[in-house]
Amino acid sequence: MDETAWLAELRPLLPGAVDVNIQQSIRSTINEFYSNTAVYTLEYPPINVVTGVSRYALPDIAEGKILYLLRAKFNGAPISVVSTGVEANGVGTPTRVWLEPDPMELVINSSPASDLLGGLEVEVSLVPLTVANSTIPDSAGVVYYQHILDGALGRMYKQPSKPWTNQSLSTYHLKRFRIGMAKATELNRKGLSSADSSWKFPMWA
Amino acid sequence: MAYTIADAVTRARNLTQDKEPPYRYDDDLYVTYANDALYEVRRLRPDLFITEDGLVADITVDDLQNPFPIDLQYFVPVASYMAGAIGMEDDKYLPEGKPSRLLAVFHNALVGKL
Repeated sequence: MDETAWLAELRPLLPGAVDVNIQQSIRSTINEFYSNTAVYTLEYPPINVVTGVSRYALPDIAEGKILYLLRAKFNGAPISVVSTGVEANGVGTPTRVWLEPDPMELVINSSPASDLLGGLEVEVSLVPLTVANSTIPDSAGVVYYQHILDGALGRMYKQPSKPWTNQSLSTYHLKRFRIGMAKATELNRKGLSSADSSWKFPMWA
Repeated sequence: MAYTIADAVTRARNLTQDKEPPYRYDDDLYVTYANDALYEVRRLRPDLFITEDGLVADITVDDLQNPFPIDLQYFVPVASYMAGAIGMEDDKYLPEGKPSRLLAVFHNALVGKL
């Protein structure tokens, strides 16, 4: 999807603004939303683990840029995701994994005793819009539409010395945007946004 | 409707009552003020120059048939600036205060409160 739906709604609220400026605000808002909520996730294709090797390159993916490592499994069993660590020289079952940027590499704290096809599974969160990717995730337009609208409006109203500048409306919409991000993060943490979540009606329903 | 730079010159000539040849001011002068107007627009509203380099391209009389270089919402303000600036130079043909009002139109359209 693209910014068309938001643009149509924002244009009449921002007289004098040109589309390219509004589009930039929408795109920056989308990236801010997904950076802060980490709700745009992807399971990487399983990685083949090789004995003696503790670093594994993560190839670029079309959907966006990797932001965080969320979960990892080694040989089907969860292992700890940490922000950074020390590679052990010894051989043994890895217990921790972390991400190192430039170049993007997964590092495990010890190399396995034997090769294992698809032995390392990881889930990452993404920032969707990059120089190489301009496709907006569908969830932005369906589940988070109103939050993105609030964020983009808040950003536009905050711009200095424009005919549409409005500090009080900026504060109002940015507050709604922050609440929206907090709500999305919380719902995602509880697993209420994924299709296979187990819903349970409250006893009084 | 797509406007050209020549259309902006024509509009400015209308505002300065310089419509019939022989013209009081030649195209060069209008183009000079068109460039001034665009630099003023760039200073006041950089959002209208969101391009790869974000720069104002200088216009010459050879470019009169080129498209008007910024969003057409701002065609009238730029033409007003051109006419106002010419009026400021020599305003004996314009009613008193008109050049200032034309420059105010330009400024209000760009940064005035709605």
